[in-house]
Amino acid sequence: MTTDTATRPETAAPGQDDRTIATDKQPLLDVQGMKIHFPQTKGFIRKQTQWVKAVDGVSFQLQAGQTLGLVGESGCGKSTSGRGITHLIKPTEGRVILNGEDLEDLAPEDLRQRRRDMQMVFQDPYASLNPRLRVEDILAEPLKAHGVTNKAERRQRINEMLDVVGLNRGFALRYAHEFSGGQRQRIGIARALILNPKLIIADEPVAALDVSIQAQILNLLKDLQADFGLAYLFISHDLSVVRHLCNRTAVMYLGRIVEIGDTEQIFSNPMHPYTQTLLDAIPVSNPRLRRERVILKGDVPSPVDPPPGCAFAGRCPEAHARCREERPQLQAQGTDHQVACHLHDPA
Amino acid sequence: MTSVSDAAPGSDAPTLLDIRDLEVRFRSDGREVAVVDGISFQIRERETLGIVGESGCGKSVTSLSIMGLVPNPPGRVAGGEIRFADRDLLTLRERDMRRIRGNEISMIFQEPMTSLNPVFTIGRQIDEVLHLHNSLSNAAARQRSIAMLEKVGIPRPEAIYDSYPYQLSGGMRQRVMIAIGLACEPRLLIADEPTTALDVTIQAQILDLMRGLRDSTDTAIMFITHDLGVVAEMCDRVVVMYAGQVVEEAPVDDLFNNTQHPYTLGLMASMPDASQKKDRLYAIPGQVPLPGSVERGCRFAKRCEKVMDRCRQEAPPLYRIDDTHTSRCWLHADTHEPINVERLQEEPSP
Repeated sequence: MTTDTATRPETAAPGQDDRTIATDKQPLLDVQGMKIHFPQTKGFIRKQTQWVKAVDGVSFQLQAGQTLGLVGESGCGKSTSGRGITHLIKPTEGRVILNGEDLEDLAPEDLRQRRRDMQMVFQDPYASLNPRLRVEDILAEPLKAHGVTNKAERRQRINEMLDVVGLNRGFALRYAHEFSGGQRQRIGIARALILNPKLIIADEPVAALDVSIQAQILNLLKDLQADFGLAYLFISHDLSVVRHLCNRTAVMYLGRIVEIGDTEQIFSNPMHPYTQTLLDAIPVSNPRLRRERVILKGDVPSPVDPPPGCAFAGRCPEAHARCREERPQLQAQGTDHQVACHLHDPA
Repeated sequence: MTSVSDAAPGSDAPTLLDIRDLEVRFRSDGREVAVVDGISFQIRERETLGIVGESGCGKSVTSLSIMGLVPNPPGRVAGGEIRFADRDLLTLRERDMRRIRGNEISMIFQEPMTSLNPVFTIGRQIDEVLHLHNSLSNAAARQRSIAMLEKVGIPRPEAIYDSYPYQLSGGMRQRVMIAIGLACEPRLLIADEPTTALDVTIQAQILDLMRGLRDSTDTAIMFITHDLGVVAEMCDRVVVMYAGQVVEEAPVDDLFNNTQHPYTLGLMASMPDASQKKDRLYAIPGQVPLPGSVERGCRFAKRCEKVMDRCRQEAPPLYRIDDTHTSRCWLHADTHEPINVERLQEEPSP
């Protein structure tokens, strides 16, 4: 870690700040000061001019069997974070530690092996399944890639998985286009689970589904977690879904976590003005509770050259001079609640 | 105007749009099936009506029928009436329909990027609407377009007038769509999932904008959405659709606080709620049936918790729960009177 570590206690000293808050157990996933910067090029010779700081110093821990929700609006870096953790995109900086092993230290073949333990489920079940493959081929692929060569064994595992996600075994011979969105997402989940992973990174898995189907998939995810002791990193823009599914919640804004902690604490006592406005913006399903709300002005600023102080200062109703100059750091505000906001910083 | 028999208490505005027994059929695999199967509802002037339902319920096809834009073939309007301000839209000639479309009825869609033309400037696309329906000079059109952009809360409207769609964020593009939709001050705006693709804070901005515009103009809004939260915030009255039929219709407060149809109840129970923790969501089992696949009985019977023998045999009629509230379910058979939709017009006012 480099330059600004000195001003960022949450990444500078892993083992103190964040870890005292979580339990003593070794976390399944430990992300420390992860940054993912993309070069921006200009002109014919692709001269590199600027950096897009998509993820700019993200740290959190996830215990086995738990769910952490990563929420934020489009462009906040939540999906890029998910890809950084699996090393589908290699982080520019920082560490991703899975089961005590730093993924950075692993040889490519070892990294491929470790991916058995962490699988992804994607948003669009129409785009993430190969239309030319039968369901059984889609599900056999990860098994083949990880050395299950016996065909009968694969067939049995596929049948078990179809049972687990609530699909008819007869579906194995059909093609993806024959299924509805909800059924496709079940196939996507079966593909992720077939190698017995410990961690599922689910990127907006229910965002494309109808309400009644969304409830089916959310319940399935809960059941699977209870049955197999899975940990989920649940990436979503939908706070209602996150509250329903996640033990802990991290709110991201412009590449950084601005508030993280126990889900109930964050929803019942949101401390960051951004979290407060996000919660306030959710339409309430009761016409008797229609209310005046604080409407945020403007859009998320560009992650190219973000402002020097707090990234939210330009839209924040409570911003003051310090917010525009000094970037606030995550500070503990209770047993499991951290906020990066000068309003809650005694200094 | 035709029927005011079902006017909400306190609302006596005349009916603007009156849809009766609309049937839209689509041909697929050599078979013709009804995608919209006998839908009736009204929208009064200045009213916001919500149309709620999941994919495949026929809500978007209904709005295309109003605009006269059902793709033919494979689709065709096979029956019913769409009366708009005392004209039957289904019998109008295309050139008369063109005069209504965009001028008296306009529509905004879910994905503003795909409904804006990427190769023309924002200004040109608003000007086009104004030129089509009014004889304005270029300078006058430009002036009005910039005024529209300002009205929908776009900062630096003169600069945005000369920008291209790709230069704007999703929220800004949706504002532009609304500016185009409202440029001719239509009497009816059809908004088809206008905020579904947007982030919540931007959705809140757009809903707030639409509320403000609705209150400052006399535009009625038909608000199509699957989000019951948005319905609760925006609508006066709600129509719930399932598999091509209306299953429940009520003023918004009744729909949420005196819900009648098992499908509406199921939809509400399956929504996660950010303001309280639910341990487990109710999930409506199964999925929406394909059009034409339910041969007899209630279309929701297979997924319904309260299904009875009768539901599998006979399709239920709409029952009148009270003056303004209807529900299509056999559960009401012993307690309420059924409505014969065709006869609604002749029914004495209650």
